[in-house]
Amino acid sequence: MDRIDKSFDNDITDGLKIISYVAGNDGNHELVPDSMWHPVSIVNRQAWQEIEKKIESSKARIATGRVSCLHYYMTSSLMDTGLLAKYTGQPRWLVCLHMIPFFFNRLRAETLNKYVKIFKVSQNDLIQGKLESSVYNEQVHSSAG
Amino acid sequence: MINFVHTQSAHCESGVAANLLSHKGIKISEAMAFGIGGGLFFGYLPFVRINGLPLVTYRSAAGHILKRFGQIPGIGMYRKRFRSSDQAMAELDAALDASIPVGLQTGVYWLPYFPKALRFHFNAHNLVVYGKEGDDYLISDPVFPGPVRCPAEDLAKARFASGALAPKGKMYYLTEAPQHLEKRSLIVKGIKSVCKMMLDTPFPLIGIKGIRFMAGRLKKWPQRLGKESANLHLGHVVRMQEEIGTGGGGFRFMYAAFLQESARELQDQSLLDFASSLTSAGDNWRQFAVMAARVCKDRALQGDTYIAMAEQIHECARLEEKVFRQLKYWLEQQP
Repeated sequence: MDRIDKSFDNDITDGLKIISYVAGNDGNHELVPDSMWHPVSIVNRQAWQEIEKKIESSKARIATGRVSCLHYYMTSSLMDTGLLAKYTGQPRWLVCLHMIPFFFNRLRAETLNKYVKIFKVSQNDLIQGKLESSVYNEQVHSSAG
Repeated sequence: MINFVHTQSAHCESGVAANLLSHKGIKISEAMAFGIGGGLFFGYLPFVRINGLPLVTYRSAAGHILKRFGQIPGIGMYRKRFRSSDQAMAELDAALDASIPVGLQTGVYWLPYFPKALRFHFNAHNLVVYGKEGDDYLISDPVFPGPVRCPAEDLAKARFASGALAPKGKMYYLTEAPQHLEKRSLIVKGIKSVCKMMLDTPFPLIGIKGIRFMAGRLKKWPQRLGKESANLHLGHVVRMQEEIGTGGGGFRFMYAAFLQESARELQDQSLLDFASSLTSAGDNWRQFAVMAARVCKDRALQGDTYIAMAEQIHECARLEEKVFRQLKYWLEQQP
């Protein structure tokens, strides 16, 4: 890709410079550190907007009592019932049952603990149905040496 | 602590391979590692779903490059997967105590140092751990400009991420490496494996046939899926093609860089011509991405249609088929 054709967006990598292969004037590829290519930022944002939409609809369903707060935590952790089942070591149908408030409200502490561990929330938050932010929102950027 | 030289690279797996080999005294670039490992590929597998969207891949399966390096005569690679997280972390610590930099396969979602926007459940990420300070591991993550740190708890989670391509705590390190790599035969073998996958596979979903198949499907997305879902599918293709770790143009630019380096290595001018043809294929992929991004953002210009995009992909297929046919002919000329 020619150097001139590029436009940038700093947002999605939090200022992190990634490197890509860019052909110089002589056609030779060099490694050039830069921000993410602009079209990538657009499609990345599109993917996140879709996730946000799902999170909002999950919140709405919790508010009307159709699903348990577990559904919110699952959606905001970008998981589905299959992946959550794998992470918690339970069959998928069981996880699906836990999405229903009737069954969720009757869960034993040890089962709740499996979700506590994976979502990094307290057991009380789960029982009271508090909706905390997801794991990726509490990130810290650190570098060594 | 191990004196490990971190070099940033575009793609994690070839970057890890290059960094580990360089640590053993064999200077090799990332692009060369990518080419020798036969990293280029295309596959469109709609029956495998990622977040409900069809799998599109521009590179060979996770672990393919490292596996090929492990098979090179003279290179010894220790590889192990684990059942228990405690055992996996203990073995990592033991290797670090013995001053061995260790490669790990991890999930991206659990790594706290990753930018938020890229933390998806992608489990085929590779990185090198070269030390431990207190509870933090010192990590050379090839896609980052400098070394990073990661708490032990998060690293353990990342090593045992679940879902597609689950790493199962996979760790690997080089046990022996030759004084010098005889590059000619490795380059030829690497190119041969890529040509075979791109041209000679009987499956319609991979290689050049796969590119054409995807173009055919893409054309029908708006009718079959509706506008919104079609745009999501389109965005997904662009992300797989251009997002972090590809070097741009769906790895095509990286492979072109490999061909250029090989041309210098083998003193063969024709490889330079193939490299520039592949670069124009990569440019075509990028033009498709630009058009697709406009469509996804609802800023489509006149002429930005799914039919036009399918045409653009067909053009990529045509250019790539030409390059790989020429490369195949070039292979036949080799001693």
